[in-house]
Parts: sequence; C-alpha cells; structure tokens
Amino acid sequence: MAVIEFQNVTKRYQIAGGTSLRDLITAAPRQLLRRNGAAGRHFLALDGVSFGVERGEVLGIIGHNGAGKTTILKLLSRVTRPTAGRINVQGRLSALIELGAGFHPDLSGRENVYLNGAILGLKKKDIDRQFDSIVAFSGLERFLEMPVKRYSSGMYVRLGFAVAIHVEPEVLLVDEVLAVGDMAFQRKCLDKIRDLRARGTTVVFVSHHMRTVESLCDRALWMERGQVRALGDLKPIVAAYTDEQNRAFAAGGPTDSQSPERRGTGEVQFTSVRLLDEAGQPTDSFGMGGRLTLELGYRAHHPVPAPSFDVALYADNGVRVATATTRLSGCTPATLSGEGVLRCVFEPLPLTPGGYSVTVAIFDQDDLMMFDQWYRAAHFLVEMAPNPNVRWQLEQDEHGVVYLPPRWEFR
Amino acid sequence: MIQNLRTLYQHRELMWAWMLRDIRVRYKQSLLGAAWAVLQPLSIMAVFSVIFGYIVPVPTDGTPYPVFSYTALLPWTFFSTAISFAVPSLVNNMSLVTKVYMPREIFPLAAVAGSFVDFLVAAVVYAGLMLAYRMPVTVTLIAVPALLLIQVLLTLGVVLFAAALNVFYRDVRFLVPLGLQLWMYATPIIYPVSVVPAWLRPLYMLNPMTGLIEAYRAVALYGTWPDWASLAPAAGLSVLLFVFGYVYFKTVEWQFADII
Repeated sequence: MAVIEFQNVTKRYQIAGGTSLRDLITAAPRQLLRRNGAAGRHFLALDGVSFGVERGEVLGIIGHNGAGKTTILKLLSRVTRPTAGRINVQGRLSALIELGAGFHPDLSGRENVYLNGAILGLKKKDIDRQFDSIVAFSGLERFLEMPVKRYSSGMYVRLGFAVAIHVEPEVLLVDEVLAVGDMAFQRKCLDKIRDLRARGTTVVFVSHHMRTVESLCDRALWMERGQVRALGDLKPIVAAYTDEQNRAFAAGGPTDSQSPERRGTGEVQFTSVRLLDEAGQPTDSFGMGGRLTLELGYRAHHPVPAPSFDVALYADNGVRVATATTRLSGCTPATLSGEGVLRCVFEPLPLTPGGYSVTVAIFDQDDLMMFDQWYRAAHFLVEMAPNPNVRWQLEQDEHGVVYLPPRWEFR
Repeated sequence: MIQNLRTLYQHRELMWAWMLRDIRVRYKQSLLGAAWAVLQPLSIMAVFSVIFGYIVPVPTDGTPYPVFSYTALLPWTFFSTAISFAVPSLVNNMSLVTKVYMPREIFPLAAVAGSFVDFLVAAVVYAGLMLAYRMPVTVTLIAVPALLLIQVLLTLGVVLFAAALNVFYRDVRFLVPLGLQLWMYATPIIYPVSVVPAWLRPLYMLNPMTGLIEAYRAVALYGTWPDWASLAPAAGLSVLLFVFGYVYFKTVEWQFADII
C-alpha cells in the first residue's frame, strides 16, 4: 500500500518582481499593457512528477541543485500546494528539514526542547515522557539550562536532531541535515533512521552524499530539471548518476552545481579530482593525522611552459585552511603536455574533525593567467579516532581548524 | 472556517508553546521586563494628564483626567501593541513558515496573546489608580470580559488581514505605526465622545474602537451599562472584520511559503 503518492504533480513558482507596494504600483501599468500579466515570469519547479512510496520503504531523492528535490519535500510536508496534480500522504508526518526550527537563542536548551517538539508535532506529555531520552541522545546533559545562544553550532544541531528523531512519525522527511555535525553524531543519526525504518516508518531522504544514500535507501528517485529522470532500483540509478557526474567532470562542463564552478582560459584543464585513502582507494573521509592523497587528472591541449598547480583547502565554516602550489614547492614541470595525473599528498593531515573542501587551479608560468579553476572540486570529512583519555571529540567549529600535536613538558 | 478552527484546535499545544515562548522572550530580553508593560500606558497617561488636564483642559464630565485617560489607554495599548507585534510575526518567522507545516495563524495569535499578558500587568496598575482616586467599584465591571472579547475579535480581524498582507507587501509594516497613530486620534481616548460635533458622529461611530472605549468608560467610571446603540454596531463590525480577516488569511496562507 502506497503511503505517499504523487500523481502528475506540477509546481510553478511565480518569479516575484518584489514585495513592496512600489513594485505593485510600478508593475500595474506594465501588467495592463501586457494583458496576460506576468507571462514568462514563471519557474517550473516540478513538471508532471509521479511516484509512490510504500510503507516502511526508504526513498532517496537525488539530483542537482534546482532539480526539484526540495520542492517535493515542501509539497509533502504541506508547506506549499501543487499548481496541478494530486498528492496523497497517509499517517503522521514529520520533517527533519530544518534542525532546531524555532529555537530561540535566549531560551534555555530545556525550554527549546519543548518548543521545538511542539513545532514538530509532539504533545507535551510525549516530550515529558521522552525528555531524558532526547537529552541523552543529544549528549548535552550539562548544558540544558544554558541559553542556546551560547551553544556551538554542533551542539545546536545535536539538540535539534535529538528532538526531531523522537517524533516517531509514520512518514519522515530528511533533507540533507546529516551533512552537519561531527562524524560520530552523524552515524548515530543514521542508525536512528535505520531503526525507525525497521519499525515501519516510511522515509524520504534527500542527499547529495551518494554513500549515505546507498547505505540507507531502498529505492532512488533521480530528479532532473523538475522531471523524473529515473525511478526504481537504487544501485543502477546511483551508479548512473555518479557516472554522469564523472563524465561531466571529465568534459569540464558544470555538473552538480554544489561542487564545481569552473573558469579559466582552458589551455590546460583538470579531467578529474579524486581523494584517495592510504591504500589508494577513493574515499571521502580521513582520519585526523592520517594521510590524504589528492589525485588530479589533467589534459594540456597544447604544450605549456612551467604551469603551476595550486590546491586550496577550505573548512566548511568558510576558513581557508591552507594553500599548496607546485611552484612554491619547486615541483613545477618545465613543460606540460598531453594528459597525465598529479598526486598531492598531505601527511600527516593536521585537520580537526569536520567537513572540508578542495579548490584546485592551474596557472601559467607567471602565475597571472588561470588555465582552469575548479571551485570546490572535492569534499571530504575528517574523523577522529576514539581517544581513551576524553569523552568528547575535537570539532572544527569549536576547537579550531588545525590540530597541532603538542609536546608537553612539566618542568 | 469551522474546519480551520478545528485544525487550529488540533495544534493547540503548539499554539500554547509558541505563546509561552513569545511571552518568555519578551520578558527575558528587556531589562525592565514587566515594567515595560506598565510604563508605556502610564507615561502616556502622565503626558496627557499634564497637557489635557492642565494646559489645554479637555472636558471629562467630572472624572479626574488621569483616570479618564488611563481607562481608555489601557485597552488601547493592548490593541496597538497586539497589532504592532502581530503584523510582522509571519515575516519574522520565515524559516518556520517556509519549512514546517502548521496553521500559520498561530504566529499572529501568539503575538496577540502576549500583548494580552502585558494588558493584565497594566490592569493591576489600573486597579491601584482607581483606588488612589477613590473611584467606586461598581457591579457593571462584570461587563469587561465581554468587551474584551469584542476587542480581541476586532484585533484578530485587523491582525490576520494585515499580517498576511505584510507577507506580500513589506511596506505594511511601515504603515502600521502611522495607521495606529491616526486611529488613536479618531478614538475617544484623549477626549470624550461628547465633544465630537453631531454632524461627524455617524462617521465617527464607524470606528469600532469608539463604541468599545465608550463602553469601557461607562462600566468602569460611570457605573452604567454600555450604551447599546454605540456598542452593538462596534460588536457587529468586529465580528465581521474577524471573519473577513480570518477567511482572507486562510485563503492566501498556502502562498506564504512560495513568497517569503
């Protein structure tokens, strides 16, 4: 029996001219002249989308930004209505769309748990009953009476997720929220979602993170420009999607708008950017202090003299962590021609647990002209192995981006 | 409409939680806390008392001017703060409106409820003022809850309409203080209705707040029952405005998330 049903759903957004009376007044004569109002000022977010989700099934929705994934979630959660088509959702629905929705910075953690719970549809007595479990899940026992404005962003997300996961809905919507928080907590969240599924909860999961989609979902829905590109078995769809992304990378064209932004003159271009673990296998998570290998494929359309390859590491909080260039290291080739692969190894990797991205670029011999820049070409996570001495984890946001292993000396 | 009220009732716990949040935050953030609720009508009363009690005396039918004006300022302050807080409430909570489903009238309703708490605090001061001026306590005061109910319906009508409109046209927020100021002068707060010229009366009585303020004064100051001829139209208009505001709100509600 289908718990969720989308029948030929279309959602059209009017591209708003503005939201002030002045806009209304200035637009009025134009509207009159043009007769048919704001024709052409529309954006078709969903175009005849149909799918169903069975009870206890986990559907992963994948696709580029702007493909309509979030619109589907908004329609499911009844935040907005479709322009045409029918939507049927059976059972109590909860959305992990915005963690900590409605948190007020001046209220304490405890007060916010009750408020957030109410927003997500919990009754006060449900929260009373589950309060200890919520707090235990968040691991914030000691900070409950503190106003959440003094929480770190990691703590904020933990508390938000802890409440959300205790709603125990029949239908759960999850939107990329797991991309935040430290690795250990993310795992805990995924386990909890699996746990809910085992108890018959239907889950719709939106993510850019293919490994998570693969480990969590039963079926996949691939959205492209508001239409269903593919729907069905998980493995082939994820494989096709990943494959297409890789081919688009190689062609130098834009792919997932969340990662690449390419610009440059194009004499030399990156053909691939991969992150490899210590065994040379592609990965996107690394241990703190371990080894990170960045593998850059390139193609020179004609021989160029002494180009420099530049690598920039950014933390997800926006901090530029490091810069490495072949010129600075004295490793720049005299001429570069044809295709090849360049490896850049960081060891030990002194980054604290959290998310990072890599931006790469190739410059000419004077470091003036840019042949190619690939903005946010790769993302990775740094994890910290459990340390028997502490019960906590280092976090990028809280403890700084870099871990400098110190030598302590009591004198 | 019934269906909407039923949905709202199903969300009563959220409504309650959100109201508590609004009130807690309001009293936590400001240093003086509850004192603000009292200070505003009290200071305006003091200014009015000096100006219209001494400098440009306004006839008050024998009532001491401070009591005369505070009796009107108390409900008026409730009315105007409720509107000022409720109109931007949807836009201020964008992230919730666009991401979580709930009856959206919860936001303006909670703002009105928060202002009601302010009103109760300020009412305590009113009681003290009445005692200080040795005003008699009359049985007619039992009409006050009914008057408040009419006022709340009127407030909700204005608020639901204006808060929804504010989502589409952000200027509404700037029109509100101006509108409230004009509305105050068109309401017998500083002066009694008796000084309004007779030819203006029919127009003047179209303002539902006029009938309400007159009724508050009648039951609290003069110990008489409200003048039904002026209260009944005010009540009718309030109910009408409430229905109109609520229906409008629910009609456009689903577009909020697309626009904000």
